[in-house]
Order: sequence, then structure tokens, then C-alpha cells
Amino acid sequence: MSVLSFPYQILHGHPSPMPICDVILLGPRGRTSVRALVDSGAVYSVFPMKAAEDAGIILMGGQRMSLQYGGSTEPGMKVSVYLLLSGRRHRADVVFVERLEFPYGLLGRTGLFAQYNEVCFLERLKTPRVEFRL
Amino acid sequence: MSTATTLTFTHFVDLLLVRLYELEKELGPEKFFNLNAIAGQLREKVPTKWVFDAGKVIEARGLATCLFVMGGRVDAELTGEGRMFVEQRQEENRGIIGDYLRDPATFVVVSGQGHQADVGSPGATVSQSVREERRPAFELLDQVEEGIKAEQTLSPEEKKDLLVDLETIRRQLEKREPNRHVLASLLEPLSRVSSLAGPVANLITLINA
Repeated sequence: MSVLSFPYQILHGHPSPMPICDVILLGPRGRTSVRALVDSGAVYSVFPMKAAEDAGIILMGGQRMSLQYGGSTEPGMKVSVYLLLSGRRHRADVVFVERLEFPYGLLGRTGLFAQYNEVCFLERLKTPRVEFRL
Repeated sequence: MSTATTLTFTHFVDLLLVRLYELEKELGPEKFFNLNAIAGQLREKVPTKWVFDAGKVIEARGLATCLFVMGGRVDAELTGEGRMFVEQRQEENRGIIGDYLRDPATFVVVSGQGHQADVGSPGATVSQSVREERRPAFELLDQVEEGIKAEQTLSPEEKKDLLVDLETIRRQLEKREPNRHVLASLLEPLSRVSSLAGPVANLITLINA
């Protein structure tokens, strides 16, 4: 079984470690790194528009949508993009928003979780981690 | 610890690369070398965090493969790109790499075997103690301790509580596998003291690495 494993990260000002990983967004202008929380409750991934801009991804042709996110409703553009997670490429729908409510994006289910047999949150370990198991 | 240096970060990265190149020639390829030890051999002392930042830059540019160990230790192995980078500058005899090759003693303190630097590799025996491996993190803890003692907005009781928390963080970092739940819960109150925000953020970066 092949496993992508991400130790939980400690965030400044947060009393618990969180399942955060660095995701690479691929675009025509290059690659941009986005810190994202693995969120099994999110349908779509949510990234800042700045990341799309940096990677050269055109959002104009995307689907406009309103997103219930961080206690408010944010307008966003849904675009299908390529993401690298620990070197493995995924085609995923990402909603790009002007302003992130948190200091990280979200890594949602669509296009990502279904590519794995299991996505496990191992909370009780000394170094808790999230594993994407093939 | 804040370290005043005239060495620019760019020059520091170049010096790390040329030293990696030399060590590889001396001790053989397919070895990881400790960037903290290499930085320690430089005449000019640089901020502890620069080693971590340099590792990130070197890796992002494909010049070396880096291993970031909790607590701030960074081991690196040059890639083909990294070797070519150094060789091009050697041939052109320019930049700080050119200056270094003309007179290494200006930049590096050589003692005893001199060119020896701690060799590490995944799974290899690590001779350093955990404390030595995580020296940058322990230095930051010392800095935080000084900050707590000097902080005027905290009452003596609050200071005492934070110092006890700090001691627990030290104990955790002395363990081979510190408990991240414990570390996160103890670092959170420290991060609320604005004068400690900088070193606490740096400490978190080292712990997450």
C-alpha cells in the first residue's frame, strides 16, 4: 500500500496541531505553493485568487459560485486545475476566493479524496498525521 | 539570538553550496551533510534561521535535496544542478564563490581535519544528541525565556506560569518524538505575548519542519 503522509502542523496562536500540508498549484506560469488544511467536510478546495494569479491560471472562464466558508458567504470562481500533493499530480476543482478567512486554504474532497482508498486522520499519535492511502 | 552580519543571505547560500561541493569531493557523493555544521564553520556568524531558510531556497531551486529535521537541523546533498551551479561559478571565477576559492580562510575557520563536517543520511547513525541536533530550537527557547523575564506587561505569576510552560516545551524537545499536541497547547499562550511573537513563530517553523 502506498501512503502519502503529512504530520499535523502547529500554527501560531492555535492550541492544537492541524492537518495542514503544502500543496503545489500548477499553472502556465509555473508552480505556486499553497498551505491548505485537509478538510473532509469541504466539497471543494478553496485557494486564494493570488495563488491562481501567481501560477498564471485564468479564472475568467471559471464557474462563478458563492461559497459558505469561514462563517460567511464568499464569492469565488471554480476552476479545474492540477495540484501536486507530495509529488503526485491530481486534477481537482478549486474555488478561488479573493480573501481567505484563515491563514491557509482548504483541501476539499472533490478530485482528491476519491483518488485514494482511504483518507485517515490519525489524531491520537504523538505526531498526529493525515494519510492518503492508495 | 539576533546576529549582526555583513554577509548577505545570497552570499551565505553560495558559500553553503561551494562547501557542499567540496565536502562531496572529499568524502564522496550520496551523502548528506549538515548545513548547520557548515554554517558554524563560517567566520561570520549568521542568524540561526538562515540555515533553515537557505535549505528551503536551495531545495526550491533544485540545487540540493534537503532533509529538515525537527528542531532546525538541515542536512543536504547536492543535485546535478547544484554541482553545475558551483562549477559554472568556479569556471567564471566570479561572485563570492570566486572570492572563496581565491582565499577560503577569509570565509571559513578551518580547525583540525578542517573540512570535516557532520555527515548525515536518512537512517544513518546520528552521533549528535537530540539536544545538539535541535540546537537552533533550544537557542530560540533561551531567547523566549529572556523575553518573558524582561516583559513588563506580565505579572510575576504570569511570568512564572509561562516559564514553567517553557520548561515543559524544553523537556518535550529533548525527547526523540515530542508530542505535538502538548507543544501546540503550550506554545499558544506564549504566542499571545506580542514581544515573543517573533521567536515563537520561528520556533513553530522549526518544530513543523
